[in-house]
Amino acid sequence: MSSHHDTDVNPVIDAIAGRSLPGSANVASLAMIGIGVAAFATGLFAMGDHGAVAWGAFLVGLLWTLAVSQGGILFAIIQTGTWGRWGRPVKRIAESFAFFLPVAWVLLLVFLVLGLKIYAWNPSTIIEGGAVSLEPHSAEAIRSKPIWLTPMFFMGRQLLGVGLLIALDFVYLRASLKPDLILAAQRLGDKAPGWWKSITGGSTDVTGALKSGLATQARMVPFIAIAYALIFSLVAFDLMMSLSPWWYSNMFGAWTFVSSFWLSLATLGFVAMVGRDWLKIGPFLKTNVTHDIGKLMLAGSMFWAYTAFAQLLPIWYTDMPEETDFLLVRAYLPEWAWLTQSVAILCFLAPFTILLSRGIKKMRWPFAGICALVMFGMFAERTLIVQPSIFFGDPRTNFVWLFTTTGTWLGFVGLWIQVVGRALAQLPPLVLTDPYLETHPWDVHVHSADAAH
Amino acid sequence: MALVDPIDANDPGRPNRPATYGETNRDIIRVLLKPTVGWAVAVVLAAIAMVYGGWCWYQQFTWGMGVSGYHPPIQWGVYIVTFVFWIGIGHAGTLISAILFLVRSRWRTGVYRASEAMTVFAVMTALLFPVLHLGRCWQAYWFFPYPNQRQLWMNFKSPLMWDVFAISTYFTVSAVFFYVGLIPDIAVFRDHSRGLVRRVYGVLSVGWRGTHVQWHSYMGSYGFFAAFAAPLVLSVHSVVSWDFAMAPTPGWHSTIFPPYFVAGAIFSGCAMVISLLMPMAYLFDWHKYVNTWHYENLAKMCLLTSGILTYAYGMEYFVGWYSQNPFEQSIFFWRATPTADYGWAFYLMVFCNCIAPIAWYSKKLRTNHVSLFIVAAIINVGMWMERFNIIVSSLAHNFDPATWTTYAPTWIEWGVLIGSAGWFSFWFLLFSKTFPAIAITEIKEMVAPPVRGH
Repeated sequence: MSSHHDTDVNPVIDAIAGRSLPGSANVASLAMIGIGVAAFATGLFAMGDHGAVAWGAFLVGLLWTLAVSQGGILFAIIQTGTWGRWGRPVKRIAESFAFFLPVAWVLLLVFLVLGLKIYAWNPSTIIEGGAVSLEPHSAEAIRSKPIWLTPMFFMGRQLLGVGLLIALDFVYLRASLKPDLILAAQRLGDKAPGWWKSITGGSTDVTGALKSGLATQARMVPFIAIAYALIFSLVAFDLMMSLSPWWYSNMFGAWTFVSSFWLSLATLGFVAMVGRDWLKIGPFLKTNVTHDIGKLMLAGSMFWAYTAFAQLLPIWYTDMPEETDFLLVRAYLPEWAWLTQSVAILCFLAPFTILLSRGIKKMRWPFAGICALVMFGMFAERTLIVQPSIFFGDPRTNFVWLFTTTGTWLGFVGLWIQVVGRALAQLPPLVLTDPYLETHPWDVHVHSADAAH
Repeated sequence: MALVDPIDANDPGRPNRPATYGETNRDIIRVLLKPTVGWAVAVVLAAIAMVYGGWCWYQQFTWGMGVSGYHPPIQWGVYIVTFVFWIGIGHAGTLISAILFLVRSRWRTGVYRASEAMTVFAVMTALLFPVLHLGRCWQAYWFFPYPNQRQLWMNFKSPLMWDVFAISTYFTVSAVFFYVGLIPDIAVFRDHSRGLVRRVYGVLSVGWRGTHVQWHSYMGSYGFFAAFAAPLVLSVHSVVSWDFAMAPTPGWHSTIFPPYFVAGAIFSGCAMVISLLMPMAYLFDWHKYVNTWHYENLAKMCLLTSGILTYAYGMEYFVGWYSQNPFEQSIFFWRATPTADYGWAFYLMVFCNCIAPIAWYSKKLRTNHVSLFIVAAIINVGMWMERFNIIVSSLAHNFDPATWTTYAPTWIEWGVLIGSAGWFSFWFLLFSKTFPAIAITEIKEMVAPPVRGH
């Protein structure tokens, strides 16, 4: 079809007709959802803590899936904003992650209505020891926490903020999808999924949709980037940092949104490797693309370690009591130190060491394995932030705690696979009409120069 | 089916390249010829500023630190502010040369050599200030890990000591990276010169002949240095930020300081590249190699880092308020009070670093040379003010109200500041006249190769 593309996109379009989630992925994800429901129910009724650990696990699952889903759009806007070509073959896969965002918003609503009692500042808290007073310790201080940490204000800003971000994402997503869906619909005819019309509006003007789509995508870049930084910081401060109501770190928001993006990048690498044949994009997903994602992940592991270290070193060094408590519980108490050490290995030492190898970044299954390791590592990292603030027992000897936290997260992962997998099955898995899917003429020139030599 | 032309006239990746290798050589070597009046005037002005700064330092050397505005508890003033400022300026060079090399960014080609030179000279300038700040500068060797006669070592637990190691490492790696990149281009200069000049370039080009083996080693080492230098971009200013963040001083003890300082350094560095390269491009007629495409990309880097800085300022205020720590709340409230001693510094900082760069969201303004030059200059003022705001206001308004005071730099300190700008400009101007300030080798990579039949 396209004389410009390095490889013919027609087989990619033809494969959309009648495609559904592969049977193995379907069964596995449904099983994960089943485990998740069982684990959450176990936590609610068998932990004997009024459901604190279960809702904490729910929060971790929510934050994990929200990060993955939002990070996909962030990857796409980075490609748009930097005119990057290397990542275009996986841009649509990244964009498809956003289809989970409305589900995440509903899950956030559920958590805010039913799970808000895990916050110690909430007057109706279920946390051991009861609600803490938020009144300042000094008569000279301005009262901020009693204003900021009130249930209705808390719920309202979270729902509005995350909702606004999702709305911006979908403006971008629609602009990116429309020309591709028009093009693919023309080839597929009646076999095209019916819901595409809600985006294409029955239009047949690919060039017009592409022109306006590229302009809209470019316009949305700064808005989404700014909203992402601000709203994910708000999510971090509210949903995670306020679990320890007297602890504060002004780096915490930045640390969270950076690590969230890294998690999403690992998931993108995993889905691209695992779904390559299913989506028929093998000819486009050459080893140089995998290699580049691997390099970005290597940089991500270093940056995660940098932000973690840069945040924790001043706290440890200055040793001020209102700050060190957070660190002491997680890094020094034997009950949690094992998890801190595991997170350091899973999120930095292992991926950093392994990804230094050029070869492994180009090998499909080993690379998918590293991506899975980081995905699990980020679950452990979020658990390390959340659980020590709400669970005061010894997790090493508590199987119910382990089952509740891990199983609930698996349930969220299963749900994410169901939603995103079904969306991706019905989408063109490549940005078909995007001119930046092409190899840059300079690169062509370099190749020809090489050939000449 | 061609839906759109993949490389249209407005494509940001549009090549801007000379026609032949010979044209590239001629254009860049031309700077070696007779100096222009503009260049000579600039050198004289830089030399005057440098001499004036030296004379001010001599006054301090003779009469002691009393000639500065330092007084307890404000013992860090213009010298430390300017030290951090120049270290920050030194960041953009390695960012542009190393990090943009690793991410295969095309626009770096025209500007990276001058940016690297800027890095080396900016760090050389910054290194003057700890010595100046000492007062008794003849004891500057105490900075080095060298015990006294009682085997007492310096305090390795001090962030100030970490700074010595971080900056000296950064300077060493940046200088080596800079020199390695220069070798093939110096060889071009050697081949186009005669007599003593040729011999000097011959020594500096370390026997470069452009053989296949040499290119192979060169490319390998260049990639290695790029990968090695990239983390240093983050580490150096992070360590500088810990000079402040490790202290419990209100307004200093902040976990966000490392990335905030790094972003600020890149912000000021990119603005300085615009401020330096634009006049140079006019002075040496380099428009074919350094032009609006490069300035626009630098402006976009500034926009991104301005956003990060604005975010960091906002987070400091939000968490300061949220903390319910009366000291944190007090310092941030006081800084932002327009009628307070340093309210003007705070609002000038916010205007220069957060508001003025917004102009560059308009493509028209970020591709207009006058607007680019003016906003870049405003950013440089703003980044100096940011360090002044952090350092001075926190010391002036510490825990104990009985120690609250104000600080005003004396003419000696202003003189040294002007002298540092002269010192930096002097070296940069000399470099641009004697070495290739635009990378000949990489420009040639964009030129269509002379293949037979074409």
